[in-house]
Amino acid sequence: MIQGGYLDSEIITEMKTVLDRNGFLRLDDFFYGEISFIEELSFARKKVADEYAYSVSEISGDIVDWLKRFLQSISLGEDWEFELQKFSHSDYTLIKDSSNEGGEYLFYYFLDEWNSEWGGNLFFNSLRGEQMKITPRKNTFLLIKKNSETKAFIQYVTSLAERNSFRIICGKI
Amino acid sequence: MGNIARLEKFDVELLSENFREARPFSHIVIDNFLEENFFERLRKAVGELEFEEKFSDLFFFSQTKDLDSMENEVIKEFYEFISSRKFLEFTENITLLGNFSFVDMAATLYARGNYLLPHDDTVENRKLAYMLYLEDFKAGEGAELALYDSLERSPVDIKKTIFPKHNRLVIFEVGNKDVVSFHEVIEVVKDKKRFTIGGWIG
Repeated sequence: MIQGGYLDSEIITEMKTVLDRNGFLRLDDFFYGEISFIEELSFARKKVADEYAYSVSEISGDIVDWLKRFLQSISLGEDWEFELQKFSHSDYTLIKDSSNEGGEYLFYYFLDEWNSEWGGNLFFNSLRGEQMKITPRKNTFLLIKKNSETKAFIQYVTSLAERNSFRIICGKI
Repeated sequence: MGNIARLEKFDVELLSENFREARPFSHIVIDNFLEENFFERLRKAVGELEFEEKFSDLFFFSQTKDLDSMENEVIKEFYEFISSRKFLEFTENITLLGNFSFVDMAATLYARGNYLLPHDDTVENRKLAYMLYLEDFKAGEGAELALYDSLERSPVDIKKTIFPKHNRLVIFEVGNKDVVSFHEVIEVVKDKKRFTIGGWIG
């Protein structure tokens, strides 16, 4: 379930204002309770060397329904594309990643804790032109309103990560 | 023997054949390129330069400013050598890609966790990339230059890797409308520093 506060109509209005002003919205502690229903999935490696490298898995079920419900509640429509991605050593995405093309919004839901020193941070430009750095943090939701200067990418994960990995549910509309 | 005179000792015809037949795209590796004494002085001088950290989606490393107007005598001598008509003729005769008229140069440092992801250097006027390695790396330490096979102008698989070796010069053709030359520098995974001095020729 999504934290009740994030479904409150006054807070939704405030979130829309923040999204319009900054071009992004970050919500910590997004769900409450355990979200173990996506733990058993198997991942397949996906790589276009000059665009991206990571592993992906199909995703469905409650978590997708709740994410869609939330996105509808802030009037962002229903036609979202979702993918569960896993990043470990030597994975990355580049600005020219063609899978980011199209759509007006990007969203990221982070499932795991991470150490920013290992790479793997998400970078993008805010509407104010600042380069934002978001380190994956368990149960954090991030919505980005795209523009020509958004230039989102996930930094290369270095060998310092050893065998650690993190997962993100990514989507665009 | 100075470095310019030393160019005469290389078999340009053989190097040219090797360059043109190299796969996945035209390149050449020349070991023991500089006079050893001069190389050691250059290596020391580069180690004393000021490096600035550079970061983007594509890379994370440190680099000096352009080395075309350095006061350091050794760096200056190396720049004058690489930009000399004799050296440009040497590269023209190896590559058979026409006449060259400019050179740029910077030193680059990759420390542990630094990398350059797969890309093509396609920029108008750049015909060749060149780099002189100042340190030795071996398998398992990272830092190698990886050259990609391409399909429909997209990189597919790593076809060849070239390890840094002191006094090793590597030259490869830069991508253009007819040529693709995707390459990357593999992450340095040991506590070692990979110094190079190089740039583009056009």
